[in-house]
Amino acid sequence: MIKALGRIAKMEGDVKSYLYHVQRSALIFDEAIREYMSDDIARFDIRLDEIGKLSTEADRLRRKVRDKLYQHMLIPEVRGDVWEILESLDKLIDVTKKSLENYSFEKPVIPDFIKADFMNLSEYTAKTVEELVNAVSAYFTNISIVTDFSNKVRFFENEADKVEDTIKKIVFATDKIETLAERIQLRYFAEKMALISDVAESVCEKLSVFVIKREI
Amino acid sequence: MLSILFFLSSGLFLGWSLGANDAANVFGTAVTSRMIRFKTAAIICSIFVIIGAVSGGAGATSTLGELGSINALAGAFTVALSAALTVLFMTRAMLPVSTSQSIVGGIIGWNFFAGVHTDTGVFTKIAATWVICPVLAMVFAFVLFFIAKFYVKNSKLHLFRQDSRTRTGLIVIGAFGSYSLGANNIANVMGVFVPSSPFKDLSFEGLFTITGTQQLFFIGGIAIAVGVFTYSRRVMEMVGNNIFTLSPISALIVVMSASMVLFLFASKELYDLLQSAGLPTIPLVPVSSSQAVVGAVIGIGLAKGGRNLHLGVVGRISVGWVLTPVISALLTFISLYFMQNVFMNTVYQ
Repeated sequence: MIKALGRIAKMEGDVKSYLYHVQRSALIFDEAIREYMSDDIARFDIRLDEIGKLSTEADRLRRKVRDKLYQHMLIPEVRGDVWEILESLDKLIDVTKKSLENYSFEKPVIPDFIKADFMNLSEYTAKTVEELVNAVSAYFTNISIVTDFSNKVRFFENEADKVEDTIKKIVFATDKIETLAERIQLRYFAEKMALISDVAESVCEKLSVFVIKREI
Repeated sequence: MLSILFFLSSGLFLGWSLGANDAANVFGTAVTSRMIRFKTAAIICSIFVIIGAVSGGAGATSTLGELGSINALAGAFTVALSAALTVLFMTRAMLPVSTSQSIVGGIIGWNFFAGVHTDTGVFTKIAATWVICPVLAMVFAFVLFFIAKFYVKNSKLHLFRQDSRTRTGLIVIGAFGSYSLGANNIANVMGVFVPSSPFKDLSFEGLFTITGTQQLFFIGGIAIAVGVFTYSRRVMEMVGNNIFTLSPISALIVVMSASMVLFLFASKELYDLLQSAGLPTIPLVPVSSSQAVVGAVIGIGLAKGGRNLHLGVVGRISVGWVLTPVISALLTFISLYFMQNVFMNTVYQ
């Protein structure tokens, strides 16, 4: 009995730690984008390295939770749902990491007049992920408030979409960007950034269904 | 000894059938949802059914005795066999059946055959409990659902901790349910053999005494345990997967409600307490655990807003209330005729 309680406390700790990693990945992403926009590439590279390590550690935690869930036959009714949430969050970290890697590989030149919009988009994206992590955390501890966080996820995702559209409009309307290739590249980076909030929203939609399934 | 065992065999068959079928009402959902291993469930169920039967089986048995005291072993054998065959026939015909209703029909059949007057007051009391049993389980489940919902909402327990507590709850409530099942339903299995019991009281150095009735109930309890181990897994899988799908917490509420009802109709201590306090008493009558479970599931359904409720099952149960005792009484009457006139056995004295 004591052993089982100890195991449960450890599992709770692992899930909490995993969610912390997801949240941190979004915060690192936001910081990295700000540093890139300030042309502080050295700091940006450190952030990129940081998110890589964080992704590896999150993977390890996710597998550990999965193994314990199945080995000890915990939460049989919702085991599949919990595993799906954790997997989806892993994809979110991957998308975030890939988005930063693309900056490192392609080194896009962001014109000064749209840097603020890019930073805005990054901020909304990070907030979407942050609220998603709160929603997932509430799924484990206080199911009645999941909807509150889900609404915030949808709100920030919507705001991110608006900023994404604004960037696209500016990029294709301005005559300050010379080539079509540059315009397409900037659109691509805006879309990739907004994709993070899109993925977060889709995880949130799954979560809403799983919440209904958890009603007694 | 061999003839005693032969005559008890129909009761033991009833016990086996009870273990095979009714253990699923207590542990079915817990096992099929993999919250509890079958082996754990079977061990707990067997131990507590036997404890319930031996220590708490007297109350409901005495009420059956008031309905008809079968005073010959061959008569008791025939009544139990007819009741068992009725259960078998009705199960095959996919009709809702209860061992309690079947045995009551059997006793009335014996009363007719032996020319013994059936106390209509006692019969009315027993028949009323058949209706009250699922209704009471429904009320308990309805109330417990809101208590559980309030607790889950406000306790803010982590999902893993909630799962752990639900598991513990399913084991503890399952043990209580098994005890109540043994205490309430042993009357169906061995009740008819009590007046003609061949067992004598055993005294252990004056320290404690095991009565002949308790020995009889112990054997009945063993038969139930054998039923649990040999056949209940299949029934559990059917109850858990096909008839209704419940969340572990809802399952806990259903088992708790049904167990409370069985306990109320079996506890002599509670009966005495109410009586001494001058309060209305709850009759000690064997009731159907399956119907208590159905009542509790309906209670949960109503608490959830009454959606997806299959009220047709209530109608089918009502048919069973009438059909089961009538078929059992007829079969017993015919069987007693053959037992007395073809096999030349004394079926009443």
